[in-house]
Amino acid sequence: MGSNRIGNTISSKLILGAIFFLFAFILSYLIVSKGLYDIEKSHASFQQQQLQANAFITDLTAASNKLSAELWSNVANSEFSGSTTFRYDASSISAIYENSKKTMSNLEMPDYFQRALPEISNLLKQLGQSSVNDQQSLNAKQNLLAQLAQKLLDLNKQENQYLQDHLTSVSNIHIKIRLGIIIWMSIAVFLSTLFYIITIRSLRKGIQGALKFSEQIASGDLTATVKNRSNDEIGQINNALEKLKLKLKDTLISIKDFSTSIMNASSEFNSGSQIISSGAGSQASAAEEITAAMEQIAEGIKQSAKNATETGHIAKNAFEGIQHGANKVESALAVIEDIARKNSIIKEISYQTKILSINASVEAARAAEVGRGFAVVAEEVKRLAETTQSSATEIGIVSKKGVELTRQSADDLRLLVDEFQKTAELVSQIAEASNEHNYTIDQINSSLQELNNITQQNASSAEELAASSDDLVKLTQSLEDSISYFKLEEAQVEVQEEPVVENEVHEKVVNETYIREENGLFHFSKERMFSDHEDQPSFSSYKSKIESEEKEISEEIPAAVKTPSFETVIENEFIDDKKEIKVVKERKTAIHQKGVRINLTDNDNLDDQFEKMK
Amino acid sequence: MDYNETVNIYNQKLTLEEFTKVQRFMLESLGIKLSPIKIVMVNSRLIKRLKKTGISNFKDYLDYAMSPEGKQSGEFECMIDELTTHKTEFFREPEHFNLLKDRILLNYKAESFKPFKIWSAGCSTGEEAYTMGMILSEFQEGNPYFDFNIYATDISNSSVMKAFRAIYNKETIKTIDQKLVKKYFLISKDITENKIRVVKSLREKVHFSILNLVDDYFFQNDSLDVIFCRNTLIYFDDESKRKVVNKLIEKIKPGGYLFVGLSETISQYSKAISQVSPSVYVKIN
Repeated sequence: MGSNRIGNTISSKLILGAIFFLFAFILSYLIVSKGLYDIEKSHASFQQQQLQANAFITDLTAASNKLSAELWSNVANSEFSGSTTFRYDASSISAIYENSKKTMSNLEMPDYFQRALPEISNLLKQLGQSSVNDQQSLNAKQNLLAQLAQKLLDLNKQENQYLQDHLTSVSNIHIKIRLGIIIWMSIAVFLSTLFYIITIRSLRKGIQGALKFSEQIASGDLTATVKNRSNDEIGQINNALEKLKLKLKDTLISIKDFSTSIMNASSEFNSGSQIISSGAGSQASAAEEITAAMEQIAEGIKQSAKNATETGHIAKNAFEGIQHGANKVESALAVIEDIARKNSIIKEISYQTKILSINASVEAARAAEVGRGFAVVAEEVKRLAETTQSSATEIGIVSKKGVELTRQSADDLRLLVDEFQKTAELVSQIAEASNEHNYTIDQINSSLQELNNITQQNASSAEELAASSDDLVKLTQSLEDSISYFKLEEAQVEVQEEPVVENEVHEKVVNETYIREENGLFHFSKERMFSDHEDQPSFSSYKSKIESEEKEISEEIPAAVKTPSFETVIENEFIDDKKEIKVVKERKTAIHQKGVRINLTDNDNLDDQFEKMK
Repeated sequence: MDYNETVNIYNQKLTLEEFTKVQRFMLESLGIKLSPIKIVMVNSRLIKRLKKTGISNFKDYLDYAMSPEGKQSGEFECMIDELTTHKTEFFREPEHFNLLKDRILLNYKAESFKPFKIWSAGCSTGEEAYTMGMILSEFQEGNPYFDFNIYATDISNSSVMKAFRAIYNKETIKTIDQKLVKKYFLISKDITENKIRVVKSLREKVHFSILNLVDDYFFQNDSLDVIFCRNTLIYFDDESKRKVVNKLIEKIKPGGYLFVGLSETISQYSKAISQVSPSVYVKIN
């Protein structure tokens, strides 16, 4: 549909209107021109005629007057007496007449003039005789002249009448022109106005249609279709707009499809990354805890290693002590054996003594009365010897037993020494192993720390990923929002679900309440729970405050944060706990201690969102 | 926030000086020890707060969080939330719960109808406390005269709030016995939510508070039957650990039990306890 197409276009309509107008104008112009031409033309001939007629009349009148005067002067001078002949010359008049007639023959003289001319010519012919010789002819001549003058006078009168008529006809033409102009111009103006009104109306309708259509497009409604599909420029605009709309619609539909896919992908990505993030967070926490636990274990193993080493030392000392004891027992055994050996000598000596005492008592009996006292001594010696012998025998038995026992204990000790040696060896092995473990656990610990660091970094990255994916979701959301500005289908059956963002529930829950400190007590209110929600004193206000403080450089220490008195807390919060609460008078660290029992009134309302498990 | 700003924040690195500040603060006010290698952890955890607050560097953030404004706005607590580890799950280290069920409860003789008192010290998001609740409720069914109170405390505001709300992801109860799950959990009506919640009857049995274990506690001496303080002490320095352990022991009844994490040993800190099983201690009469 190019602009070269010739149809019922606006320009042609406008041109048609203009042609109408021009036509009327030209018609008017022609009427005026015709009128003016007529006037001019009649003027021109009229002027000539008038001039000629005037000249004719004037010249003839002058000539006739002159002739008449000549005639009269001749009469007066020569005392006209019947037969006297007067000469006069009428040729000049004839000449004038002929001349004028000649001139006028070119002109279309008015009828009255034409009619008058032969009469004048006749009169002039009668005047033409050049002599007057009697009163009668003079009178005739004079009569002729008078007739001529009368004729001329009539002519003049008629001329005036003619002039009058002419003026009347001119003014009639003027009226005609005026009327013509008025009528034709009115018709033209009326027609062209009518035409323009019709044209403008249809144009306005078309433009309004296009405007409405483009406004609909602007307001995002792409379901509208344009009605006016005429061939004119408006129709072309509408067609172009329709094309634009279709193109826009196609593009938007594909963008919408894309964005829906992106949306789905990004919300999937988001929930995935949220899971990763929370997983990484849990992993990081777990790693953190494992690391802490491992530190504990390492500490324990270090202690064990130390203890094992010490035990090793002790075992070694004990082994040495017991070996020493065993040696001592060995020497004791030797001593006891020696004693036993020495006891047999005592036994031998007592036996010998007994034999000697028997011999002495035999000798004493031989000596009878003299030896009686000696016999008593011998008897005592014998008894002593017997006692010694029995004691020596007992000692022998005991020492034999002692030797046996000592030998046994020596044997036992020897065994024990071996065991102790083994124990000491094992303990030192344990100590060694413990030290090795200690070293290993140090290694494990440091690897674990390393692992923990990586996990923490991963957690951080996962967090970043989650945050970015949040942003991505928001971006696609806003893309979706931007597109949703456009209405693409008459009725949208499917409603795009909003992506479920993890933590949202939690934040919704948590958002409702917050702890507020007042009169030394913490209150929960629905305004704010945690600082990371909107209405916290902003960092910027804090920063500006800091900056202003830095200027002053005051030494003033900021007032410590008011914390609830512990007594109050207890009285208020634990009053129901069977009065078992100990009132603590002083608190060392004031910063974190709350001891506030959490009790939120709206907590049970949340149960509405939950149901029994199947 | 602009994507570039986000990237910029994630590229921030904690300087040694800033880390030392955090380290000192954690030790002095929370008794939590951060070894130098934890700089990575602190870095990655605090970046989350930087993102949330939109502060572009660590120095400004730390100054702000520790300022009175930061304390007022709650940023201070959020920072602590991030810096502490909140690892927990239902029936974590099940040996302990078996011991509670099979040994402690079976031998428990109620004195003058006082309720059995159990404290989850360092409860994090509450899974441990609710696990105790399930065990004790089950026991109560067979013993109508038995009653119990569960106390649960943690330093982290947000953790305690989460515990109080008792709303968890469905995955967290995967390992729990189906019978218990049906009895003690509700599921979200909205299937897409994938959330579960502890039933009201069980929630009512658990009393949550915010508490720093280094501070003084509100329990009376010799008043608690059992304390679970598992995998909490591992974050403390030695001195704080000793202090906390002794305070915990003070609160337990003679013959009462103290549970610590399976990797922990506390016999070196107190003579008033004896080990009955790895990481389980009884208070000597």
